[in-house]
Amino acid sequence: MADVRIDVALAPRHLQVTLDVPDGQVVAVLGPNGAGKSTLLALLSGTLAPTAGSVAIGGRDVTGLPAHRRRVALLSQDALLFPHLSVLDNVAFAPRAAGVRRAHSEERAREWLEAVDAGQFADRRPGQLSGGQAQRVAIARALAADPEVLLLDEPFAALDVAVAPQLRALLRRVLAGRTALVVTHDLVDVVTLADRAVVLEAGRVVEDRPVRELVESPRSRFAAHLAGRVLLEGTLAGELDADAGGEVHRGDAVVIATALGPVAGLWQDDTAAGPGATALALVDPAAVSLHREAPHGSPRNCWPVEVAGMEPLGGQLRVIAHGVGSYGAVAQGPAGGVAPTVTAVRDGVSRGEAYVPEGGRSVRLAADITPAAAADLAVAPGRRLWFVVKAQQVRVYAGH
Amino acid sequence: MTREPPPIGPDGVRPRGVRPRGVRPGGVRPGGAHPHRIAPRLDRYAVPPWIWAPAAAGVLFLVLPVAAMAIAADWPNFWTLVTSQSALVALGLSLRTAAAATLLSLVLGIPLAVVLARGDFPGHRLVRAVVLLPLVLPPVVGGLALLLTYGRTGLLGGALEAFGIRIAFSTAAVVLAQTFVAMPFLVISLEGALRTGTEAYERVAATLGASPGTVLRRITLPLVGPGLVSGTVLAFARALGEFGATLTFAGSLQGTTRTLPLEVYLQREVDPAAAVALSLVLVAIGALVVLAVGARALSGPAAGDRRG
Repeated sequence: MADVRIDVALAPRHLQVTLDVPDGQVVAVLGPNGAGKSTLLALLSGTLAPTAGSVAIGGRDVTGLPAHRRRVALLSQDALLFPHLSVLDNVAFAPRAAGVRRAHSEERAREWLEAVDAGQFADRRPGQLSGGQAQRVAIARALAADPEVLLLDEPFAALDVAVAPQLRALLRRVLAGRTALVVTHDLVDVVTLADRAVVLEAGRVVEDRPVRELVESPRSRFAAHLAGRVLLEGTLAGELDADAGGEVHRGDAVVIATALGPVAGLWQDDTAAGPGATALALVDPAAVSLHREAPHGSPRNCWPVEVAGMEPLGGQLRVIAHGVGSYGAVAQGPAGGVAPTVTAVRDGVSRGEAYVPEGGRSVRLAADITPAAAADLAVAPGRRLWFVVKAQQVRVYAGH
Repeated sequence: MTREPPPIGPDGVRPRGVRPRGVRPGGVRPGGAHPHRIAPRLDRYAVPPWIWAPAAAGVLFLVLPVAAMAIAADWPNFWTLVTSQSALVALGLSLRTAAAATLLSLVLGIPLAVVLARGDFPGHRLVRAVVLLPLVLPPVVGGLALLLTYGRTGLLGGALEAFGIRIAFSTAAVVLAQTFVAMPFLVISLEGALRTGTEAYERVAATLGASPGTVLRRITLPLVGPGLVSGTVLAFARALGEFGATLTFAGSLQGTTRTLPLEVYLQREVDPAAAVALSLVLVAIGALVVLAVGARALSGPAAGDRRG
């Protein structure tokens, strides 16, 4: 095993990534489709050459080395077992290619097959294996190459949901102490396999943090979405209960200006910040309730929304909606684009008024409700409702 | 035994390492039929009824001449005719030269197909067109071209003569003429097989530490095995039937350059019955070849899957 230092650019794909992975760390590589995740893996494995920069593994510069001399094994969503070789020969392929004698290679292959609980498939043909069995064998084959770095490109994406957990447990076992990069779209992979998460967007690293921090207070929309949360970006306006623009500290009720209008929440950052600082509000859809009318009462965020769709979520329904311009009797308050004053927000919040500027249309919100509630409210795409969430349940923290 | 359907090969070019979601990489194996045996058709898609008439006419057009030959054949004397001394000499020469031409086609054609399928070099398309030219060239023109290259007064002929090598009108000329027309069949067949998605496997093999040479030997060529076999068989058949280029470049000397097709042409004037009998021998060899290749194509990957 070895540490990995990547500092590469690939001009045609607008990729520019710097990443250091210490020896033995597993890094989840996340990001929307086309963000450059697989390209990054290809640059590491040597199947693509960077236009600038370098890749170093265990202290040796491998930038100019072809794939077969890098000792980087790649595991993709398709097992890609060589169809003309038996399972045993597949696993023995790497030792054989390294010049190890046949008998010894096969012995090693058998050991690896046992290690992934696939010993009984040794004499089968890849075509006779199920997807999960084939992926098990592919893991053994990759490990038999004795790689310094393991690259996993959505290793479970092509598998049955029923099979994935066992394989995930297996991977967790074999990845212990290994240097690995795992490209995934699955939060479960991230929390079970990785120590650290890197989010790529448009070829750049936008987040690079321990997994725990990433899911708790994501800084990118992608990471928030992965964690099942809604992230609102904005600037800090100040404390909700004070007119003065002083600094806010952990636990303070604050207001931030977002595309959706002013959002009230609790400052959950150890660092103090003053008005104008970049701030993020994280909303848990489970804490959002749906109403026909804007309710009154304790400090709440009330957003007029138009329902875009619904998706099942466990025993509940997740309602996806977009902010809409203020409507109805509450169409008063600061116009879009004008920075809200704390007083206006506080007044608005206490009166159940909403100020959603035009830009709010681009904001995607989510609320988890029971199917019964959805039926009561006749939730359907195009329907206009209110999303309501208490200020205490909105987590606010410093942005970049 | 259940078998996964073969992964669908990506159709068309995509950037390396980028794959549309849900599309499995990897190969439809050459002759890429579905591995399941042909099931009775349940779908009711029908061809227009009138299309059967011209289709039947097409089959008749191809079958009738062969049938005519079989009818005209002097069956009681068939064995004597095909085992005459001149016939046996011609058959032996044909088999030897065709085998040599096939071997030469493999030695030159496999690297050529690999380079054409994988290589990215300037003039790639031009080279490909040139390689396939003999397919569309009248063989007699090919023979003339060979003569102007290797003949005594040809481009290289003079130089070869200086070393005491004379090619034109020798058995070597027969082999060269046959290779000239047969190799493109092998190249085109193998190149097609190499393009059906073995690249994902090759990439995996490389990340497992296999050098390009090892990848070619242990992954690429075995994966295109069926394509290689059918290409070889086609090349052999084409070499066996070669006439025009051989006659122009090698002449018709008994025992040296007079192959079976040339013998047939010669006997046609002297002893038509012998010509017909020898023709039927060529038909039989051709039929064997077509059946061998056809059987492979029909059985698809299962046939290529060398079970231990």
